[in-house]
Amino acid sequence: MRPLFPPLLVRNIIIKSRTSQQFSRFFSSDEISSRDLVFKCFISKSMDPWTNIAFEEWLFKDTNPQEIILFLWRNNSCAVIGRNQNPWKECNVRLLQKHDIPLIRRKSGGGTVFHDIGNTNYTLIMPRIDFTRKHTAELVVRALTTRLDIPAYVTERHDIAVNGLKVSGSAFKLVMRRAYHHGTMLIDTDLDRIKRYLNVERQNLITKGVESFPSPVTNLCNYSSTVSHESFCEAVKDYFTEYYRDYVNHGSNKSATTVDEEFISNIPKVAEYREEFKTWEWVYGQTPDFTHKFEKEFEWSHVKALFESKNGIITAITLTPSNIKYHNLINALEDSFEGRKYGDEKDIDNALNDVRVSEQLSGSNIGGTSISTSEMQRVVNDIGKWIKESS
Amino acid sequence: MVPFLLADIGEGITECEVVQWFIQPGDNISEFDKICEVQSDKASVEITSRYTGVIKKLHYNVGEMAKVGNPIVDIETDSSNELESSLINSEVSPPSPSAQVQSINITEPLISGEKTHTLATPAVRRVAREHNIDISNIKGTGKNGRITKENILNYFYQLFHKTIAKTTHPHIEVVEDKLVPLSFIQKSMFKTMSRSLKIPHFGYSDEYILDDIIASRNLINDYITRNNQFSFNKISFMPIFIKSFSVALKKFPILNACVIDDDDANTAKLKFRRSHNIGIAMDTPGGLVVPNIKNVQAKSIFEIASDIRRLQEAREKNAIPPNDFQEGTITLSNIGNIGGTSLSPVIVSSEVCIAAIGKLQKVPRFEDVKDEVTGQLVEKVVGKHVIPVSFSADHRVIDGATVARFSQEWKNLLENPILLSAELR
Repeated sequence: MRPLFPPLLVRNIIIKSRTSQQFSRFFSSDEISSRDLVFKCFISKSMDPWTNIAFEEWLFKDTNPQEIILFLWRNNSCAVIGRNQNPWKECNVRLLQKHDIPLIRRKSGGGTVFHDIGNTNYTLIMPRIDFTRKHTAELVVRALTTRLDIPAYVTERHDIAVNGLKVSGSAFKLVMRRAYHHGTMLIDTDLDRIKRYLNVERQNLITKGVESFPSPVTNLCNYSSTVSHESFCEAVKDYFTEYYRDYVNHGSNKSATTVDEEFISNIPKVAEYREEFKTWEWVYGQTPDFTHKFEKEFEWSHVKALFESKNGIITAITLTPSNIKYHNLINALEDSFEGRKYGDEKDIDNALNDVRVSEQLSGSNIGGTSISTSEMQRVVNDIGKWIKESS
Repeated sequence: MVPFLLADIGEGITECEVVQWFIQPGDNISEFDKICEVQSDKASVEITSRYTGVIKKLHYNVGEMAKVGNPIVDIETDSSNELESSLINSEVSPPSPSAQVQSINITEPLISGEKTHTLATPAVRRVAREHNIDISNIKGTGKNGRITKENILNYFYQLFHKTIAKTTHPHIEVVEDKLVPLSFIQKSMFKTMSRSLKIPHFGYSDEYILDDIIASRNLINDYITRNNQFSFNKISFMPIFIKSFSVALKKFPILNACVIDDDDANTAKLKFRRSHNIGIAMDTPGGLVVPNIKNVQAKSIFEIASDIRRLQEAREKNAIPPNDFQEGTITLSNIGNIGGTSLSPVIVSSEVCIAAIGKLQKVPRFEDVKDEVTGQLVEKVVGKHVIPVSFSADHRVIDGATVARFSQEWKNLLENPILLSAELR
């Protein structure tokens, strides 16, 4: 008789349990089928960051929690911040906007990353009760070591590294019945380019929320001449499918489903999520409270600025000119900025224009000290430009 | 009104930031509704309610750090019952054996001198000593107020349960009748336990003093370092435990047997097995597995260590061959690295006995030591390395005395390692 799995009943120790292929060796096949777990693999052909993250969300929220899902995807250039991060602290928002590079806030925790097509993402979705931080990373490492001959390993922080350099970072999301672990994998990314977008020196931006934990990184292509997005996906898909082979539906004749834009566009929920991910309210409005201080010496005065923001909106702004001549004009600007979206060019312009208009109407004689129209314009323009650059 | 505690989310995390609330004070909430989202470094976790009722108070604002184990909301339920921290809210489920679960140490003051006015026979006094209980704390219910062995054991178990209550979570109380399907773990445990249910278990526990074995192991490891001929750098205690287990087993072959045709007492037979294929529990990323080492009776400690090493390497690659899982005859489980003192392992249904080893600890014990000055034997408190060992055996075919004697035999070999070599052929 085959030995069966001998569980330990221990009075003061809790049994850890995870989905296991060893588990399945000990049970007969009728027991496996009664457990209802199914393993599925999806590979995305789309490189649109919004589409992919919306599809991942749909896989997580709207499929059966008894499904263990592996999703492999990659994006065109985009910056991705963690659920509870401050975009202005983490990346150069102006530069991203200037270069038309999407900024995405994901739903899992963790730090900021930059994707391009040299980076491949993996997501493993599983029942909550089976979630552990090291599981997915371990399996990916094994796929790399056994099938691509890359000497990768799992670090203490549950990232993946080769030769002391990070190649993959990860983040997690847990809800009642389900959890996922998703991560990046640097295959052949332009590392210098990343630096430009994620390099932000903002000592005086003090924020709540999670700060990124930067580490030195490297690409997998430095350790293998055969690694590519395709070979990585193949290796990971094969390894995971083998590991979960007892839950694979052998009825369907393919091991993975390739999804393209068309397939995805036929799922209305995905389009819904896609829109939500794009809203200002989500990307910027979910920013935790922060303050930002900066100052500048203008020809006409030295000015200090202090911004306070909640939910991405400027809740308070204090501009302190050293020259009291402009005191009232500055007050007017302060009032105008309050309630505007932080770092938003349009809102800044609107704030400036409102002041221009109101001052022109009142004849630029503010509270006793007269300033010429051209002076007023100059101050407003200078302040406007400065605030745009600094925030 | 029930304070709902923030459950341990594992990974040693003691606090996390509240990112958003899904409810406000005054809202009605049902079990499984979302309460809030918290964030810890890389994980974003949704906390769901265990109770149905009305939200009374939120203990944190968005952006504040919520402490694990402290109340996060107050909920007014219909009846006020003892709360418990939610299993479904831990990141590692069930809660990880971190700070909360330790080996139970009954802390009672050491006996200083109990030759006082307590009425108790020497045997009873010895039991009290062995359990580290001050006998003067106990009320006797025997003749003339004598303290009996039962009194001592009852007192001991009361303390035991009190200490458990302090270190583990309070017992779950059900607020109302509810139908809940079994979780994944529960389902699989249900099936395997039902199979093992056929076996009437009895347990036996003892503690072994390992100071001599520790010294012996150090000698062995020194030897290994000096001689590079082995595939490993040092050995753990397991090869020594396993080999001595097998040596003791030779004198008690019934423990290595299995019961067949056991539907009826008239047809049942005992199959005595020549090979000692000792199963050892191993933790893998996929879960607990029990491969066995074949023919321990014919292997040296070094050979056993080599086998263990091979299994560990195969485990790394998630590739232990099926043969290693077959034909086990008896199982030895070491969960000392996790912790624990009193264990009740469940017998594998093709075997009749299982032994489990808990955590090695240094504890105070009494020993008669020769006093340097007087030359007399004096009772002193010395530190001893002690390991708890528990057995479970099939009471249909094994009796308590057999297991007790086997344990004594194994204990003897471990406490006096030189006897192990006396058994060499």
